[in-house]
Amino acid sequence: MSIESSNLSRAKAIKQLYELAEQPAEKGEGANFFEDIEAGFSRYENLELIGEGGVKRIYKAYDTTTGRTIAIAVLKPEAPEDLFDAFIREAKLTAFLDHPNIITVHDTGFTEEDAPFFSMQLIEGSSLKSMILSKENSPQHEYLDIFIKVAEAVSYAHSRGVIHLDLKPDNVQIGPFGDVQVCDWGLGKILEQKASEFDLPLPMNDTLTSFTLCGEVKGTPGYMAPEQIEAEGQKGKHSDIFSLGAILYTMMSGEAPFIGSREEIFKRTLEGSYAPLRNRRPAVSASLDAISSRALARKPEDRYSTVQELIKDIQSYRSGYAPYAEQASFYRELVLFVSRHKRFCLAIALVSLLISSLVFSFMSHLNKKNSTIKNSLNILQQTQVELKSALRDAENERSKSQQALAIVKRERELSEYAFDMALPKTIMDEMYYQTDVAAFLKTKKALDTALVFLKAQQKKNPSYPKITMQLGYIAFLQQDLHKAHSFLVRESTTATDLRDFCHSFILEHKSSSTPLPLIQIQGIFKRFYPKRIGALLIMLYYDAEIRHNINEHSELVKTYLKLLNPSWSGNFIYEEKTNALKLSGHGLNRLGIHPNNTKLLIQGLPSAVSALASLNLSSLDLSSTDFYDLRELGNCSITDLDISHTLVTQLENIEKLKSLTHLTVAKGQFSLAKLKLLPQRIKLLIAD
Amino acid sequence: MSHKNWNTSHTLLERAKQDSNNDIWEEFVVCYEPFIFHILNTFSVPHSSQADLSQKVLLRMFQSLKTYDSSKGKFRTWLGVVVKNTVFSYYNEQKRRSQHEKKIEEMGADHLALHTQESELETLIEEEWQLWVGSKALEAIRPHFSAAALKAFELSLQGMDNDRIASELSVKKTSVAELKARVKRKYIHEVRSLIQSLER
Repeated sequence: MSIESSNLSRAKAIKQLYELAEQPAEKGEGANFFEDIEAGFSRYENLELIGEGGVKRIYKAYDTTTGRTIAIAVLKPEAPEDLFDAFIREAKLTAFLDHPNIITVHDTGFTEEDAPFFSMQLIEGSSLKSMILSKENSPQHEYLDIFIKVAEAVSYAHSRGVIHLDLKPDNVQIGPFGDVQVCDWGLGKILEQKASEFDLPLPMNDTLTSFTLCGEVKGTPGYMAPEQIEAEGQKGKHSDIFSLGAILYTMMSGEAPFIGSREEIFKRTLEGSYAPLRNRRPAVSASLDAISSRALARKPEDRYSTVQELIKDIQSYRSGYAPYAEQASFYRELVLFVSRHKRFCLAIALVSLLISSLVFSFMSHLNKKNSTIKNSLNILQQTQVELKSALRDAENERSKSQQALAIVKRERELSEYAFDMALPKTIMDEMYYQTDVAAFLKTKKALDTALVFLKAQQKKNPSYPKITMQLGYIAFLQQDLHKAHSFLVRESTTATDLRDFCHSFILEHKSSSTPLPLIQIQGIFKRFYPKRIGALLIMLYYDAEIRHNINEHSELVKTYLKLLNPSWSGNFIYEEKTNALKLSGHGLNRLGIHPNNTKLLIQGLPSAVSALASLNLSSLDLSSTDFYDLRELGNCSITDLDISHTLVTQLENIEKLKSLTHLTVAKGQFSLAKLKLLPQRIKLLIAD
Repeated sequence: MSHKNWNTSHTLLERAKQDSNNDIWEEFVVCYEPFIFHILNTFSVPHSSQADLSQKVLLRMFQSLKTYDSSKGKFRTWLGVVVKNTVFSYYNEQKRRSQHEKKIEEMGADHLALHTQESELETLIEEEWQLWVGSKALEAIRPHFSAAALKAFELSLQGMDNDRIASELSVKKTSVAELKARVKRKYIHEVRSLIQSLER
């Protein structure tokens, strides 16, 4: 594969990946996504026990995959194994129901101890039971809000063919923001007609489903319908309706309808004997009494036939109508009518009173006057508002035009700097050839030539600011910042960054001599990298020519390398005696720059120029670094090179190192075929 | 009247469209200047006029932001058009200012016009943007991977197949696939977030 074709393929691949990234992320494709999905229990962290039932424990936990806090139900390890299926079934059944007032199950599986678990939405807050038990009495309308939400959830479940069979205040969770969730669907049952929609792994056999997870009688005494206690009882939607009635009753009275010992509760439930709601709490309206009585009817056929009917009755009551259950008399309807339309009835009474009274005209007059005053007040207020907004608009306009002015000003400044380009092309070409091309190869000579040339041109064409600017640029490369400043301020220059830097430099330093102290050059490098990466390299090359202490100069080479390789933190060991350099450590892969990127080559430059060139090294040891691209050595004149244990895999570019005579590679780093292609002049050394 | 409070949730480009104050301008320059310099270098615009031209280009981009709508077109296409137009008008203006009109043909370091057709240039800028974003992403992910993983990815970009990469790096073929995939995933993620912050 040739270098050109691999470069082409690389550009193509990068473009393709870019276009892929332009598309919105699909699930599972983004980085870290797969890493994070770890099947099983390990994704949950910081488990904290928050509740415990007969056979399961509830934990609060942090889900590291989705980054949210959730609840996890885990079957106790001591639970008999035949409960496993029933437990998983509860999770699947709940997950099957998708309703805002039914708890959401996220995930099921097995813990590291092989106990089944399911994770679900965490509801912080308290149960309806503790809300009822707490001494502060919540207002009735709040209870009715909650009740309607519970009933809506049950109604939805019924529509999906699922019955709960254990509805009670304990199983209703109230979140801190009033969200209501019906939970614990462990006893839930699928009604036959819908079973096909629900893909359960186990047969719907009744011995299992009637097994209570709490290890007691299925359902909770006090809220269970009579048919759930009877041996032959037919459980169904009507059983949930009974429980809803019992919940309503408890909310309104503070106590469950059936009370006493376990046996007493069973007996009373079967007899249908409980104290009417109004006996326990006389303040409760007759309508609510009627609604709960109908839901709590002993015989299923006497109850509401659907949960929707029950909800409708509650809503009728709330909007002031008589619920169907109440079978209200005419008088009761009239009372309700008046209370529903309090304002309307009052108005009628008032108006008739006014008609009959003599003060009517006076009143109306007064009203009129009043309203006129109100009107003018309104107009006044409106005007004020309009005035204010007009004022605001004016201010907006002003600040907008100020900004526009600033931009126009900036642009004018820039275009004033746009020097005239009336220099003949040949002059321009010569100037740029010396400072931008030749300067990389024979720096001192190129800059000196350019100076002589430009000074001559300046005498001929003193009006060309471009020449003055270029003189300033060259002085800058030669480290004479005072001189650079004197040129750069003379004409309006485009190299404002250089001018400003020189300006603050001469304010700080009254005079300076070349070469500048290391620390100052290093400051220049850091200030202008990477914007003027090429100019800095020329500056580095020039430094080698004027700084007689080569050890000091090597410090600058090191600074430049560090800028090229920001993550490199290895050693730079230069030995003046042997003219050898050893580089080590990870993160080192750039040794030079490519002054002309691929597209438009300026003639005469190698594809890369190296930061090491100015050291005139004899030998370079890169062993065990991450270096991989021989082109980076560009114009170095080394004779000995050690690339053993680097990532160099291609030797094609080695020919371009014209003075190389000794190459050290690791055993097995290159195939024999590759090594055979090496030029004759290069002697091969094998490192261990 | 400023919308500072809700600005924070918007991207730089959206904010710059609404409000052109100095802070946003500076933030804008920091984001796009490196690319503009890269482009000017790529086209061998002389170092000495790069600073000036890059200011012009950035200013023009900033002012024409209202013509860019990320839901309607690609950023890189828009970028290509704006940069090209600015560069051309820059050189044309210089020609116009010239007092020696007769010599127009011989004048100016008009490297761009000498070497490239106008329409070609737009595509070139667009492609350079893609490559530039790619190289930024590569730089950003570099510290997260071993040299071998990066090398495997780099070689796969150059079109080398897994067998050859495995032998180049002396690792198993299956680990090549894994190394490549890890780097690639992170890389795409990085490009995507660069696109999100620079183009939207």
